[in-house]
Amino acid sequence: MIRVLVVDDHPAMRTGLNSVLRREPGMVVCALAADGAEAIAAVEHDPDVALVDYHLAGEDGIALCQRLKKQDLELRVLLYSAHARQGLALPARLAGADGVLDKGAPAHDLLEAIRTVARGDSVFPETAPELVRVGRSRIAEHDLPLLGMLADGANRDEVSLVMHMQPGEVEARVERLLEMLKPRIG
Amino acid sequence: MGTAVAALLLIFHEVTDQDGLYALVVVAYGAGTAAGVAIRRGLSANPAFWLFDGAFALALVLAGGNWRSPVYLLALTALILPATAGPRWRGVAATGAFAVGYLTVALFTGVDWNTLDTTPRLESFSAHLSLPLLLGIGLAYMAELLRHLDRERVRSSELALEAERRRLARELHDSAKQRIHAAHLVLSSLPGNGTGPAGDAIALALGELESAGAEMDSSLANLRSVSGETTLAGAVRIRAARLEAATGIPIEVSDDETSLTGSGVNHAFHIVSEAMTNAVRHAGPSKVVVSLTVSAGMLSAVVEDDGIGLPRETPWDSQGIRSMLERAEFLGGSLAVTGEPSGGQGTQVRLVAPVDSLLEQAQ
Repeated sequence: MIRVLVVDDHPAMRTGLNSVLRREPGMVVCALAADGAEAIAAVEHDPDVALVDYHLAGEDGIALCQRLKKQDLELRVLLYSAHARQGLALPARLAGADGVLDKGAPAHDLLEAIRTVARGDSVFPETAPELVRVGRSRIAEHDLPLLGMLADGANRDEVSLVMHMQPGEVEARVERLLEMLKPRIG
Repeated sequence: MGTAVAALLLIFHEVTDQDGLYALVVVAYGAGTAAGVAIRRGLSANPAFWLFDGAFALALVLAGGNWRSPVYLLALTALILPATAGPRWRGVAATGAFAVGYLTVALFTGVDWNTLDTTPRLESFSAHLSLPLLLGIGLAYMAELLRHLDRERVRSSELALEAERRRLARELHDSAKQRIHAAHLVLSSLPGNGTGPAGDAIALALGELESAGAEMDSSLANLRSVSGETTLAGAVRIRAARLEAATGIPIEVSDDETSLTGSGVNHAFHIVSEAMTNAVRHAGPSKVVVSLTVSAGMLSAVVEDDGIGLPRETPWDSQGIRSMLERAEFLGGSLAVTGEPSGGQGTQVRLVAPVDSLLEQAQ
């Protein structure tokens, strides 16, 4: 049984997701959260997968994803976004998310994505080569190896070991990279 | 008004004793220039006319033969246009030139240095000399202040409009669009989706919801774009004209007549607009050249200036530049900024993006 935590600031989305996920065999919605604080509090319901809206009031899904992962190392996070699917892929990987899904995707794709991340696999949209190139041009040369490792799925400890960096420094550099790469929604 | 005062003084003043012809010339000149300015509006903005006006008025003083001429006030009115029309330094310069001209004229008409010894005369002479300075500088400052207020008023009303559009866009996005997504999700989870009559109806409804979402995306992009102008070149020209008016730095815009429209145009426009703003604000150029061309399905938008070039520490992570890069990325394009650090060779910002991405909805 996959326990899902739904985080979305719109009641219609929460209700819709709840109704769809509840009816699916093998899945149960263990908590609904409207913002970051509620989501963090809901971690005590022991969810397996957190379905996190990117566009939350007061906080973006990337930042929340990082907080959730700190709170519960086992928790899988699927970012759910109505915009910038492609632009979101790289920052989402950096933030340790397990997948990115378009809000326009039909229920079948959503359920499949939840099952995939619950299994321990990841669901990311193809990143267009152009985006990678533009992303690269924005990032300092010495950060590229770090970015490459994280994008390949290495965790922070592995990075600090391989690159001979203090964990704190890895954290700070990831923060900076995320600031550079996050899509802005006006 | 200067003419009226001069005429009255000529008639009633006892100090000066002028002939009728002189009075006639003064009145005719005053009326003539007033009429000329009223008929040809361009005249009042022409520095050659200011020069002529000031010189003629001083010549009238000279012809009157006395520095305490009743035409003095008429001559002062010649200062109004140059002091108020241009930038402050020009008003101050015109004023200074006038004061020097007046001093010269006064010397020519013969200042009786002996009588100047008496305090009232000395005071009168220095008042005659300093009045144009005070008047001109005061007017120039006031005119500058008024222009500044005017610019601020335009800017704040633009900002208010922009804020309102953003608020509407946010509301649409944060609520209406989420409801569409929710309805689409729930509907797509129904069993039998795609089979039988009910399945057909569901498929139709799903299609409609997808179209509604796409239409909302394009409305959102329009709301976030500028003042309803839908072609890229049109929007860029409007922005360039406003920037030019606000800064006085000429901005040339050329495009190859391809009227690009579509929701993605908004992003291209903001990139070009930001580049133009940066150029006039930070580079101190003598002019900015913008060109928009389309070839082989790619839009190329170039903003070039001849200013000081990029700062040594280019702020790549500043909000402005980041937003430009992000927009270029959303369009699936690339953005290049070139310029020698403080090399004085100017800066070039070049956006290359597929035309298709401008036409499609690109959030």
